[in-house]
Amino acid sequence: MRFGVRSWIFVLAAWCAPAAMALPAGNALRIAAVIVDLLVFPGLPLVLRWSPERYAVEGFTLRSVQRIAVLTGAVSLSSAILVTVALMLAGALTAERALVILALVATVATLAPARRSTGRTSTKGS
Amino acid sequence: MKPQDDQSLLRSDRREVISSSVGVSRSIRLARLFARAALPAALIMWMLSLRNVNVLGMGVFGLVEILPVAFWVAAALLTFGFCAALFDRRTGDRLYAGYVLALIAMLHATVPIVYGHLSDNWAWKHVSMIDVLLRVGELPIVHDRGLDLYNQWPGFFALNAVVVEATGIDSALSYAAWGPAVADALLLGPLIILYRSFSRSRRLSWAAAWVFYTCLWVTQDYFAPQTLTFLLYVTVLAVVVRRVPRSRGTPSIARGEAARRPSIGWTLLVLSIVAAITCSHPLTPVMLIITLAALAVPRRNRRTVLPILLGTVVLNLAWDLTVARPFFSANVRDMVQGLTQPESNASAGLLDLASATDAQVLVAWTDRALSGSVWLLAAAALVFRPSLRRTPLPLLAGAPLVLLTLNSYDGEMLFRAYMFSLPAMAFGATALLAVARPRRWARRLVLPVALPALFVGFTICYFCNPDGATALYFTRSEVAASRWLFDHAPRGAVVAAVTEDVPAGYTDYDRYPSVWIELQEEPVKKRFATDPAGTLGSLVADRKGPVYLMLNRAQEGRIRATGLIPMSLKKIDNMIAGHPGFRVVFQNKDAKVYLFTPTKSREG
Repeated sequence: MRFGVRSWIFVLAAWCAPAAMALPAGNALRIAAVIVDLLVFPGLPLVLRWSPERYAVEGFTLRSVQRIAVLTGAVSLSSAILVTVALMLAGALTAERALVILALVATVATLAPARRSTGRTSTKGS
Repeated sequence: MKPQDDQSLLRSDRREVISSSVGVSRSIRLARLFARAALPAALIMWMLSLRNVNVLGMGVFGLVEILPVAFWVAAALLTFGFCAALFDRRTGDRLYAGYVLALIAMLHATVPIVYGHLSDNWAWKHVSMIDVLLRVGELPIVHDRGLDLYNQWPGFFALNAVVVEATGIDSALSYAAWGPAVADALLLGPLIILYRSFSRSRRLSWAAAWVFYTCLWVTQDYFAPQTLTFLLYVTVLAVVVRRVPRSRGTPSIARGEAARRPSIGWTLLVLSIVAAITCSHPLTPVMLIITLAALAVPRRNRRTVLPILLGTVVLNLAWDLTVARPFFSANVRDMVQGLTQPESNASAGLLDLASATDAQVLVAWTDRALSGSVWLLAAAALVFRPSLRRTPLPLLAGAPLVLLTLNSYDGEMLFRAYMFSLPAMAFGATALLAVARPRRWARRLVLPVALPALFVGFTICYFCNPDGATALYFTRSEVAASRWLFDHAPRGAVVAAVTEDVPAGYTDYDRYPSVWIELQEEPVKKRFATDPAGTLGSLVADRKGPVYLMLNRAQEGRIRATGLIPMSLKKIDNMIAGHPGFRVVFQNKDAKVYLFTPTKSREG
């Protein structure tokens, strides 16, 4: 199975936050990596895999980017909440564990083989 | 109204631009120039105006009376610049976004810039919860202070604990003051997507966003779980509404890619957001179920909405019957009782103006006028703009009001219902104000009059605290006194205060039991006003550790404004100072910490 450059960029970016924890506490690069990763992953690969907006990838417009960005941010934040709550209820909440699990989800969502879509696009609304 | 006027609601600006591009009048060119110049000018003036604001000069009207003239000039420039942008049909999304983000900055970044640190005592409380979660790994249940809610809906706190630990910053206190500005800025994306589902008009969508932010006066956007879940709530509605058909025989606003049948993957994505809402806040999922149920009423919407609705119900039942079960077991009787009192639920939270101060009356009438105007204009829009009735707007605006009759939510339900219905109502009100007035001069005047009025109304509601402006702001001396208290009090010591207006008053709440007089029954509060030592002694009779009583400026402001105990804090302080059981252990210009040694009262 071959993966495109985009897939590898996603995987590397998703692991930036766990890796950034090696930087000193409060370091600006560490803060930026964690915040950006929490807002983007695993939402972006999941949205590009499952959201109807993925069909706009070939023809991005400002509005389609806006819709993908909003859904990505919401799904990423929600994933982070679900992972941290699950860890808390299990009595195992640490930032490292939460970030590693989120990066794993992002990796699987990026690299898992996609089902070929058989749906027919309606043109009624255009 | 002519039919073509109403049709313009659903028309995209592109067609309007084409029709108007034949000849661009001089007035439009001037408006375009002004719109481009006013935004940076307003931002620069706003930032300059916030230098050297004397916070200690605040009186009963809070920030409104200490903000300099330059702030109001900047606000006027921004508002009229936005009106000029609306006047020019070629204005792009970027300029509109710049204006609305600048508005959010003016409304919500002014407070943290002027105050310099976190001001809201509820936000301080949530920061303390996160600190405890980081130390203990969970939110310990403390039954006597209503904190078990946080343990059973921990999503917001768990997320912030990970942010604090992963970034390595000291505490959520570093960023909590910016919570309202960040949350409202993030809300803009889903809000515009929702509005684009109602109309393809760019001008109408951005004007409605402006109206939404200037009517969101209910101060529920601070650093709190409901702020996060409201953002996710609007996002769920935006993505769901975008995919429902506009009316019978008309496809959804989503074209091409999104007009497909909703896939399982898309449904799972939306349900992941719903799951995050479910484990973060008790009320928002109920609002979501009611709103989705309303959306599912038209048969044409069911294919899209029903799977999400069913998933939301299942997720909520699962959570409420497991993690949140203790809360429901303890409160089920009150909830059932609430169902039988719709009138008192709806009116709970309304201020009794007969006993209110002048500032409270002004704020109360302003927020009533603001909310009533939006409700009336949105209702009128449904009558006079038939095209709006073909959108999900009436369902989104009406559904949250149902909950108003079911529960009082500690007197807050009126405000919560208003907040949850505001996205749709703001659009309806704007559609009536902004679109195709019968006379040209009226169309040009209505927004330049309405938008500044809404801005002023918002600042009165948001910057004047009806519970006393001084209670909104903690001075550095008050923060220092609280820090000293928790640094020196031994583990197990009881922390007492008259009101909860103590910065970081819930620090290590699992180690320091607290006693807040304002949360006691009415007779206890009255007794405290005449016999503070005896009352406090009886309240801590079963506690073993030493007792610290903190009195500070913010508590004095709250008591003066609300009269929650029938005595000023100064008189209580005088009584305490002369009592042998109290000894001052820390004092600065805005706060005093007493060590209380109960004598006979402990037995009593």
